[in-house]
Amino acid sequence: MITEILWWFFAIAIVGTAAGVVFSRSVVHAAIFLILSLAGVGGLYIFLTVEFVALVQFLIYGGAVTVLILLALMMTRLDATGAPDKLTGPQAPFGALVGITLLLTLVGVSLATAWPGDVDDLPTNITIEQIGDVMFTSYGAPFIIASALLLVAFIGAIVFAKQEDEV
Amino acid sequence: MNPFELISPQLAILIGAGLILVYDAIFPKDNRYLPWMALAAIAVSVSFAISLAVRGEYHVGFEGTYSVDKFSVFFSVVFAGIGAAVVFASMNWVDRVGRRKSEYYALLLTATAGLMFLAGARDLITIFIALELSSIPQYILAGWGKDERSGESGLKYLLLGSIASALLLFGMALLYGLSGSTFVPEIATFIGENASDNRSLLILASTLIIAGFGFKMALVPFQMWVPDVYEGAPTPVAAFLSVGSKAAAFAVVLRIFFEGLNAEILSNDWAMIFAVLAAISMTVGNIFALVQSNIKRMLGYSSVAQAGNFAIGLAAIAVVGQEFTLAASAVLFFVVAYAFTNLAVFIAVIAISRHLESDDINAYEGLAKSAPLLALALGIALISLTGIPPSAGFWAKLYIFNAAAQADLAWLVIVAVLNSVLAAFYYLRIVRLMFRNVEDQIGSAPFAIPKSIGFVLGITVLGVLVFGFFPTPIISVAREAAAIFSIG
Repeated sequence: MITEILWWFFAIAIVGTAAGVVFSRSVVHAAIFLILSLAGVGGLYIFLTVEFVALVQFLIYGGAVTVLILLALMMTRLDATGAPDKLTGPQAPFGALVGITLLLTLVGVSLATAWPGDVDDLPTNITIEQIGDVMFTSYGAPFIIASALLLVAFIGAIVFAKQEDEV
Repeated sequence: MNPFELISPQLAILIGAGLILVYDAIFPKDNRYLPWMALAAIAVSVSFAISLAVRGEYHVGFEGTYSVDKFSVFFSVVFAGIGAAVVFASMNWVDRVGRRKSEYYALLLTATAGLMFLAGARDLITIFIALELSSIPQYILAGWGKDERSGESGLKYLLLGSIASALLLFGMALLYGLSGSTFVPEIATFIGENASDNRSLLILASTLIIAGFGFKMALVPFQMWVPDVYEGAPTPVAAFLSVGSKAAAFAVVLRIFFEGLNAEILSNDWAMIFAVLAAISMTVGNIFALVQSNIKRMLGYSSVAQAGNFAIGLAAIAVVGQEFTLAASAVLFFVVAYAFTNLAVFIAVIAISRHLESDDINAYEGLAKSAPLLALALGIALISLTGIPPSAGFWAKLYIFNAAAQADLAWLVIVAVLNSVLAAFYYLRIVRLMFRNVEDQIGSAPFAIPKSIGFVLGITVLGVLVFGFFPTPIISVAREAAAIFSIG
């Protein structure tokens, strides 16, 4: 009972703050709403007893990603009037058409599909230890690739950030 | 077997990239040896790959998610070769730019390692992250030049590439949601049992995956980035894009579609998608290439058209059934022939543009007089791209058309042959321009080609000719590599 009430509380909070991200006039407010929304999703993961995903959600999305967004905002020069830039051009109707077609296709196809995994069948109580085991056995190769990928992204960021000072 | 031994070719290259960065950090003044370090890493990697193959150590490692088989060794060696050729082709350009040399070679090496991982990946997560490892360095390298165009090229490639990655991930997520596994053979088992109930979803997933890889292959309608990126990116990087990432995308598509989605109820549908994309790509690519005046833009559209030729093979494989190995090996042979040919073209263009300081096709007029060998090399490579004997490109086209004809795709063969005629116009126009006799021309003073470029140009042109006269060894290797799919 209490779980159900809490679940609804989190669900409404997520949707409400997500709406706040979209509708708030100030980007900084939007970013703060985003943190709340992402943290709420992390809360839902705890209800599903997938602690590791919840932890990752809090640390990476709630923490790192939004801090990155805020930092990026700090670097950009904000328009004094705060008027948002016009984001639509003459291509907007075509974009909408493509988007709506894709949405309808996805919804239609998803409804027509016999999805095998019911929520009740999902394995629960996966510990961080088990995830660690899999990471170094089955997913050893992607783990190594990911480390190289991060290095590359890092180098790329430095190369472009230091573009000006020629040595 | 220790799984790390299986990925030793890639590890060698990644360690080489790391050593280059560390060496540059310790001895910042002494950067002469950086490209040679890169080449040494590639050489070590190739020797690891070949030693795996010679010892017959074909295994799956990491609980099945990574596989060393003839197919992956074949592609690993091809990618390493492409990487080495691009290192040679870059030396002169990187020296002239004169900054951040170590990062350039390190990124080139990691991109190569990413392509090699793609060749053996059998798991959707591994495939995706390997694709990113090869893509992200290429985004960075495309924006390496100092001018605005290069920046635009890098940004455009990054943004459109991210959209393609998102589509690909969406397709993969649908496959995972349905089958409950990211492991390609397990997906195959699931589809074998349940394909008929979920056909529409599987087709949607296939379409999204084709869209994601179609971007890398430069198939129409995912080609809009190609001309701008090729034009803006440094030419050695454009060479890498046009050969490396295209070939890798075909390798993965072979792996996903022929190992994972090869249920009969499904394969005819996506074979039709590939057939239609092939026809459109060839036609659109060739028509746009005809009207280009910038050689790099023209090569961009030509690479779109060539992607169409590759896709004929993919369409043929699915339909053929028992003649499977023939069609699959046609694609592999095409990869090798195309790699040699297109690298030769790009390297010749690097040498010529360096001298002319222009990418304008009309500036090539009378080039045969000032640089006869260079003009000859470019001429041979362009003849091979057109598909005229005796060149590797001729056999590649013949082989792939034959596979399509056997698969009852006669209409596609007719489209392809008509397109070859169209392509001959713009390829041979350059040859004619170069060998035209003109009196007073800016390029008429004889000029020297840097040794590194001359060396690798010689090797690639030699490859085009040798495989033009003796295609049998590569064909038999390609057949063996393609044979791994025929069992499943």
